[in-house]
Amino acid sequence: MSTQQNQVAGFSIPGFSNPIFDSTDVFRKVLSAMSRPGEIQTIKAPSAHPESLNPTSSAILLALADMETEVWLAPEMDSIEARNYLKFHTGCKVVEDPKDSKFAVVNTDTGIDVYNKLKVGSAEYPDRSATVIMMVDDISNDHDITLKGPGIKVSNTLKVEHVAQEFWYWFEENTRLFPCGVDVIFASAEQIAAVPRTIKVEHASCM
Amino acid sequence: MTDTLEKNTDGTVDVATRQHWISVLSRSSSNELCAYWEDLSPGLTYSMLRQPETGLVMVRARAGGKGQRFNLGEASVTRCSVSMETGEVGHGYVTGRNKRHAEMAAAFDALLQNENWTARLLENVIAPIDERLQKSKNERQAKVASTKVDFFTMVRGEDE
Repeated sequence: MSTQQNQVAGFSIPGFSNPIFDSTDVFRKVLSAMSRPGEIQTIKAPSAHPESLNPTSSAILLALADMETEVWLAPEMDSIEARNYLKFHTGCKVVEDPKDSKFAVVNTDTGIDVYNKLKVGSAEYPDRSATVIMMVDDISNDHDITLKGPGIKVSNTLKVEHVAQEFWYWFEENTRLFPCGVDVIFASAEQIAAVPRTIKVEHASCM
Repeated sequence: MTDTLEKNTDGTVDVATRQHWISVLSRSSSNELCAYWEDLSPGLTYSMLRQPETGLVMVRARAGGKGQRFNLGEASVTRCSVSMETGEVGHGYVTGRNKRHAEMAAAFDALLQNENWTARLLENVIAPIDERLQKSKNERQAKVASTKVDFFTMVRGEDE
């Protein structure tokens, strides 16, 4: 049968069932997560997604990426299937170097050298910076780190499973670059939470 | 039709053949495609990969077919992608905003790629539509040709 040969990996994965309302909904959730750092948002994921990307990170990319968006996939997330899926539904460019990316899709194992390469924007254009989408196992509001800053009344607690201590050290450095810097979205299978560059992070263990 | 159907070495349909049927499908009418689809054996289902969506494309042209390229204007185009249960992925691009037409064009493109269907559909669907399109094109050309005016410069006889 020619059917299997005709089928190219990733091109046969459906996107949003209702592209307009679903992407608006995801956009709203990302906006809420960014403006209320640490608050957990639940995302209605698309019916199918590439194996190497989790449902929420797929949904975020479907909603936010377009032909002017460079996306970098960490080696664990990178696959022909994921590339074709993104190419087909969003038309975005998948770049080979994290320094060229507007979105970097990583997981908790990704090394700090990657984060150090990301675009932080310039004083004139701090918006020309990268956003990290980190695929994680679980997000909760348990007390692991304390977040303070704009969008939080007093303080917020957040626990993201398996995030390395080095990551938070890097993030602290990152916040010192303000107004430049990188924003981070944590994406578990169904939920997202964000820590933008404006946020001060304190560790429960350090206090 | 089966004899003339060119195949690539890996058994997939030749690009030019597919281009031809996609071209015919996009110029067909929505109603005729729906009618042909209903005539097929029932139970043929496909799932939506990309819901029908309408956008604009810039149509570019060259003056006289060989001059400088210029933007003629924008045309609305509706596209859709579907996949059959057997795995074939079909794409439909049609001018205008008829979503049903784009969906049907995509479904036929997918089904045409299935080797059990290719020859049958080319003969019973694509060929008749192509013939009809060709006929109406010829009729129109004949109508237009009858109004042709030959412009020429009158010889004024001054040069002699």
